Amino acid sequence: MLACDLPFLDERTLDTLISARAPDADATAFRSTHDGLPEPLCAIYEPRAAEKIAAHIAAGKNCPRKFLINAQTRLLEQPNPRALDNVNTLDEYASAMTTLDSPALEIRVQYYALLREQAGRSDETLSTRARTPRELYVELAARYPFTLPADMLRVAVNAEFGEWTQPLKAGDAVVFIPPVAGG
Amino acid sequence: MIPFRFSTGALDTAALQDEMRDPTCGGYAAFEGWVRDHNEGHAVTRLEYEAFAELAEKEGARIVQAAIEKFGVTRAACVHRIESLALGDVAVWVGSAPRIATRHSAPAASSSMK
Repeated sequence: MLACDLPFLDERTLDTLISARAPDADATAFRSTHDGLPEPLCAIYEPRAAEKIAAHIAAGKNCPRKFLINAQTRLLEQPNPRALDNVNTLDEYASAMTTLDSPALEIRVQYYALLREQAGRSDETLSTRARTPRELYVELAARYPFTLPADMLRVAVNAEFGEWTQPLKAGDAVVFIPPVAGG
Repeated sequence: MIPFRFSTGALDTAALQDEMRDPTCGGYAAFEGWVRDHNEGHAVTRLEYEAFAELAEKEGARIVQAAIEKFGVTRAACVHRIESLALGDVAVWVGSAPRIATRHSAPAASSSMK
C-alpha cells in the first residue's frame, strides 16, 4: 500500500521495504522518523492480515497505525528520513515543489562530543536538499535530539572553518563543532 | 618541532621543555592547563577530550605561528592531550622561548586555542 502524496519517496526506500519484507508477519512497515510509530501508507500487508484487518474494522477501529502497532509488524528504519514526508496543504505542496527542483547532494557529516552522543553515531553520508550548513543543521536537528542551537556551534567544511551560509557542494565533509568546555 | 599536536598519555613536560632549548634564547616560559574541579557552576570529576584532528592541527599550527610572529619569540609549541583526564592532570602545555624572557606569549596562545 502506497499513499499518493509522498513527493520525496525514492527507489531506495521502496527497495528497502521490499527486500526486508517478512511474509510470516502481518505487515512490513517503516518506523516514522517523526514519532517512531509505524507508517501505514508505505507498507506491505500480507494476505494473512486480511482477517485481522476485517476484525479491527468490525470492532469500530479505523486507524491503520493502531492496527500495525497491535499486529505482528516488522518495523524498519527509513533509509531516507524525508522519504515519507507527505503533503497536506497548498503551502506544503509549494514548499515540496521548490525542494524537488533542486537536486539532492551527497554530504558526509561527522559528529563529535555532545552531537555524537545525541546523533548516536560518529559519521554518516547522507543525501540532502539542504543548500547551506545552516539548512543542513536544521534538517539534522529535526532527526536527532540536538540541544545545542546553531549559534553555539562552529561549522567546518572540508576540514576548514566555514560560514553557516556558504553553499554546500556534492561530496563536502561537514562537521558541526560544539563549544569547548572546562578549560 | 611540531608547532601543534595532540598526545595521549601524560605529558613529559621536561622533554617538552628541551624542545624549546635554543642557543639564541635566554630562557623560556610555559603554560600548563590543568583539569579543575568545576565548570560553569557544575562539579567536574573528569574531562574527556576528543578532537577533530584534521582541522584542529591546521588551526593550532596557525595559532602558534601567529603567536610566534606577534610576540617575536624564537620557538613555540603546543601539545593537547585527547583522552579521559583526572582532576589536576595537565591537559594542555604551551611553551615559548624568546630571545628576551617574556611571560605573555604562551598564555595568549593558550587562550586562542579555545
